Amino acid sequence: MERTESKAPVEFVKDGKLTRRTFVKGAGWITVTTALGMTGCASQTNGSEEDATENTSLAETAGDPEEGFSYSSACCSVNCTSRCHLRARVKDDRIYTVVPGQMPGRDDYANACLRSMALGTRTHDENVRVMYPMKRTGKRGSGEFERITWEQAIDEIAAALEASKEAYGSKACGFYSFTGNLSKLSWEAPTRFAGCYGATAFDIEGIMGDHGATMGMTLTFGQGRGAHDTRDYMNSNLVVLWGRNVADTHTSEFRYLVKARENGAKIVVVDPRLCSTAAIADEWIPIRAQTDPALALGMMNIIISKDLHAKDWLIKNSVGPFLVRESDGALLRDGEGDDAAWMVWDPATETAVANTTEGVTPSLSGTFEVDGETCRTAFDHLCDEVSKYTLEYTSEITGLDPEIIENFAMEYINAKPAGIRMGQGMQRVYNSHSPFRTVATLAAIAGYIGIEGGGASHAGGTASIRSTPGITIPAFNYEEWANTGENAVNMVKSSTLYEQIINKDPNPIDFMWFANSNFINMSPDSNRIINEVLPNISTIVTVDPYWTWTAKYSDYVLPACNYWEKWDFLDRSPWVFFQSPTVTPIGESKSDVEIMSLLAEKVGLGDLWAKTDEEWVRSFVNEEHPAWEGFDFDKAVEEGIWGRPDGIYDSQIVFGDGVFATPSTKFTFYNDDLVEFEEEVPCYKPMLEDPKSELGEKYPLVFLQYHDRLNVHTQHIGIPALAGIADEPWLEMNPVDAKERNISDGDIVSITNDRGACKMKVLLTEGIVPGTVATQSGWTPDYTIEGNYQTLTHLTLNPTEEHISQTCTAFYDVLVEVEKA
Amino acid sequence: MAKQYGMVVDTTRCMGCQTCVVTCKISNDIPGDIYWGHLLNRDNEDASPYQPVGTYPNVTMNFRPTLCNHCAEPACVETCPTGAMHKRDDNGAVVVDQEVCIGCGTCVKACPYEIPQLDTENSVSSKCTMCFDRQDNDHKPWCVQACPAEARIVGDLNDPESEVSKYIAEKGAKPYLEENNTTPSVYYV
Repeated sequence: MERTESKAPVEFVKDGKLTRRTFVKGAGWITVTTALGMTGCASQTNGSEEDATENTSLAETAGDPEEGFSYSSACCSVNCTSRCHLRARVKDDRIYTVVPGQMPGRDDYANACLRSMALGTRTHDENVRVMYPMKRTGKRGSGEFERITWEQAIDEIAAALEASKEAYGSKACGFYSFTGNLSKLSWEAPTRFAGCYGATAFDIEGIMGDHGATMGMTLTFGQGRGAHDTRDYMNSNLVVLWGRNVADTHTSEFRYLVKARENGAKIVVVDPRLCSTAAIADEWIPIRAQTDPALALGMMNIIISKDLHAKDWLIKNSVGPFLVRESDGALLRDGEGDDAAWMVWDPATETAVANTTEGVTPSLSGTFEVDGETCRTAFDHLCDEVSKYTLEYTSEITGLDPEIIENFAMEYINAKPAGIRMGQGMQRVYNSHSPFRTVATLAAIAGYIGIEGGGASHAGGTASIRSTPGITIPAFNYEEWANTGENAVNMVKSSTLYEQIINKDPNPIDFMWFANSNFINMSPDSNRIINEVLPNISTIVTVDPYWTWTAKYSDYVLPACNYWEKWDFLDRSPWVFFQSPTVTPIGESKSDVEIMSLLAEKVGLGDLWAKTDEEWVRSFVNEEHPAWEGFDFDKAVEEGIWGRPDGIYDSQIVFGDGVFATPSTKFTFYNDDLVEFEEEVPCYKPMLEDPKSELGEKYPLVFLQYHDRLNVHTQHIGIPALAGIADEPWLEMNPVDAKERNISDGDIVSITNDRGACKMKVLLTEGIVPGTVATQSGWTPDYTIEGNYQTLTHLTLNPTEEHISQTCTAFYDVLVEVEKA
Repeated sequence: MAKQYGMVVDTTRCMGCQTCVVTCKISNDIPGDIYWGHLLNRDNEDASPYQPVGTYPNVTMNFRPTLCNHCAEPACVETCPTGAMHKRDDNGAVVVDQEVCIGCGTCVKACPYEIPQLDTENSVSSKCTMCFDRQDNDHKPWCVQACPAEARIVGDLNDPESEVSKYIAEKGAKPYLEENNTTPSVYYV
């Protein structure tokens, strides 16, 4: 069957269901009706028949089933924690499947998960792809659009952009590019345009709920990321996966946990849910949701009170010996200014000296008089906090038996070494900076930082490059890409986005461009977005490969290529990804760079956007640097990846030298600028929506949304090839909670709080802490029976976090009630 | 001796991600809502795969990914009225010739493991081929190539020196439901 392109405008859904598109039928048109099975394109039917013949061939010798296929690469950049090298198996401009691509220098590391395989099929699915530039015809959210030309779309969008700038200034134009595609061109193009235009962009981590990890890491280690290679757990006797479901959210690393266990390491999972990773764990510690800092503090109390803490390490490598003035909680400095050293107590001379003084072994504990001021050590301040967490108190908060807490603490300190892999699951809470800060401090107290088989790791970002003596030039030429001409981007906190739009302060945002993001689906409090935020914006543009909830509320929807259809580039040292188009872009899709270039041309910024995607990718390679010795561009593109000859491919750890990127270069568990918040040392504060509070009487259940095997965010939802695993979200609930509510397995339940409601089926499971319910993040409103889980969440600014940097959305700090629907 | 392709699945490595299930479906272009591979709850056949065994908080979760067992004495072959379902002489794969198959569903009922499925779109039986054509040409089966946990090893069971034979021997791997007496070629640790 042959398909001819419709020239008529295509009317997009009127019934509110994004996945059902009504095609205008005309001569030569086929109606795409497939809901299950492979996508229903005519060209695919032929392929199926050919394949079926091959697979069931009775020939004496089976022909090579790879004959006629070629392979082409992409970097999977959809923001799980892995960045896998994918290879698509291609014939006749169609992706037949996706397989793991080799990682040069590491034969053991090729990985592709079920999500990436399924996304290959979605590339060709006209049911979900945005095919053409579309303009809204009904009211926002109605789903009524008409097809327009690229020329009309760019003309009208440019006019709207200029009108917002004219009325309120260029900062009133917001460009929101998030993590739907983190490859360099895709992710950065909208932000680069914002820079060229003097417009506003949004610092990603706050609103999306990942920033608590960064804050916790930065407070203690001085940097937002830092991880032991997962292979390093072969050196561990105990591996703790704390709020981190490696199996589903960092899949490329899972095999090394399996091997570590087979090598004799005990694997412990700390999680309110028995997550997939627990399938290979020796112990599940079913902690009450969002009480992780209390458990870490309780463990520290056990370790310190038994005098098992690593005193030598703490004296040498931490702020423990630093003197704190009793009067105001400030750290005592050796003079004024940021460069001043920190004062410590030298027991040999019984004087306070600068911590940089040679030959001094300072006191870790004690009260001292210095220039008439009473001072105590930072370590003693930590101990003050820690000592509150008796076994009984820790048990009461975490819901864990005292025996479990004590055993865990003793196993941890005796393991020598034990490695902790921390995960964002424990930090989507109102005091999001606390969990990573507290757990990292536990590892420091144990002396496990910077040693093989140890660490408190937050994955993603360990540089694996050998420095080459005498080389001062950068490996990458980013200068031209970084040049935004006469203007610069106005980068603001994403945590304040709603308030800025609603209150027009400090930036009267009037125009919003959403790219690489299903903003409504993945941001908190979707009713507030729809009813209070979006109505305050004159023009909303969404650029996306797929029809999203956000697209539905936009005035213009522009068809973007997905990663199989365009050039891109990603530096993941020691590798560099070179991605070229594997298949022809569907419909009239364009890359983000092409789209921004068209808009730039229209508003007089064309000079800054005069390169094609391929030219940009080529421009990033600085061939004079040793990183590119033996490099051939065409070969790298064909192979999809370049392994740097100056790269390090062996397992690595972090902080082995005991030097940290903190102001004092020491591991830090005393931050005197947090005295005003009474958080100068790592501490635990109850949830904002605490089940023990008054709100908990009305809404007693903690509501979690976790990242599941089927989806990273919303990109993978509803892909037919995944339907056999799940085709709708479900709510996990402990039978104890179900019994109280007369709920049976499989019942449809309504989940409610004051902000919203959602209906879905319930799965009763013994693998969740009573008092907590959980669903999978990412499902769109099309797949819930009614409402959406994101109507239940909230964005509440946290003053401490706004002081540190920005609030991290407390997606898991949410109370609900659940009833049989 | 002719080959017998077989597999060992190490359930102590499996995280239940179903990447095997999905790559099989996509890579083999299996029509409709049929999957050739499935995921079972290893320790409780009556529960869904993701419902742990035990009572909170003393629970465990283990999985058994399934595929055709490519039995030495396949019940599906024995009962097939047309001869479409057959066991290959050269590599022991049990496959259905969809050109010959009349879609009567006898194999579906005969297999104690409920492996063959009726492709109602094309009125034929549909099942796993052990990717024998890929193996014949030195490519791994899709599910083996894709497994993120490296839980699957494939090869010739008739070669005692093959990786799969050695793994089965070393770990004492056993077929699933041996009492079905079909002599499966798929083993589980």
